[in-house]
Amino acid sequence: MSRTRSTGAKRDELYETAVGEHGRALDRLAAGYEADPEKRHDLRQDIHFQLWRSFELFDGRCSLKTWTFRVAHNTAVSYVNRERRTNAGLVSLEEIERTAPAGEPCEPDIDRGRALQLLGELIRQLKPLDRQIVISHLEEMDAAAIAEITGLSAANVGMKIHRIKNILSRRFLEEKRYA
Amino acid sequence: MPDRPAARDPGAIWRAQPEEKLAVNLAQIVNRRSAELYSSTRSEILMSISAALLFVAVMAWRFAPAHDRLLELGFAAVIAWVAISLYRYRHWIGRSDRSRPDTVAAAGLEYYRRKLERRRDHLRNAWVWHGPLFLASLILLAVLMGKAFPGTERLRSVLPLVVLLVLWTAFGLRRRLRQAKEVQAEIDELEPPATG
Repeated sequence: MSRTRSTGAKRDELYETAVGEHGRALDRLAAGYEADPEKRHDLRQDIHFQLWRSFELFDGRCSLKTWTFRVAHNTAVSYVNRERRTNAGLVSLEEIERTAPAGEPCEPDIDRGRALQLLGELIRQLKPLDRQIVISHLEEMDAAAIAEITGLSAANVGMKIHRIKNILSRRFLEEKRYA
Repeated sequence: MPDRPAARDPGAIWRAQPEEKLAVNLAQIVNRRSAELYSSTRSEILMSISAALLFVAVMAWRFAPAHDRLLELGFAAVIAWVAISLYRYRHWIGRSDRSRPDTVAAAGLEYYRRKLERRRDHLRNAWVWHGPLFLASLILLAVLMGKAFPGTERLRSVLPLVVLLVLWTAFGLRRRLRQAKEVQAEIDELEPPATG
């Protein structure tokens, strides 16, 4: 199968478009992989560089958004693997769901900053694939779009999203009980 | 007033996180990558040269009383090889990469591509850097196998080191050629194909 390659000018244009449309989401994605601001900046740079390079090979068979997030997630996953030679310490959604009892919600009068911090901590303890799904879900992508990015089946993603919702509701929606 | 109901919608919290303070600049990234390429090439060269010189120095000290002509000539050849390589590639060693940031920004992709090409050429010249050590180990082996040191006791004691060096050289050559291939692939990606 032949691959249509874009010219240098086209690549720059695609890069500019992708960053214009999804730049903020890419920053948030990096935050899901690295908490330290300096390291995060390096990761963001790496994501942008790989994204820019990747558009040389963009063939339009998937949407610009899917391509952008695929490249960004793959770059971030490589970063995670580089940083922790093994994935020891990272857990799956299933493990979190199994081990975290329902009585561990965040504090009822939690403010936005604290909630974001807890959310970041939750995401960064996940194994890369689950992290991709959680981040994509938080970015309001549907199961089909996430499946396209991750390569999992839509049914599998749907199941994972169900778990994510369960975990998030335990951790964040418990406030309703106090409201 | 604190924004109390924050925790009710994790997605909204996630999407409303504050903007990053530092902006991402593609020209800066290219500049940093170029500097990294330069730095890794430079340290590889210095390490190869140091390893060869250290090996020769230890062997010369160890076998100084033997006064073996082949050994002396061999070590002289290794030192000459190192000296010529150092002179030929002095721009990699004695000088830092002094490209001005504005030049980098202006040249952009072209600048990065040139750095990649230099890195590829360096990797393809693997023999220049691995050669001295390889040559030194071969000379040592030849000498020890010859009549300079009768008996096999000494040969047996040095053989593991020689085998290790030969293996190290083979591994290094393979690794560099593989890296050269990867760099070439990156160069190919940067160059738009000819149309028409």
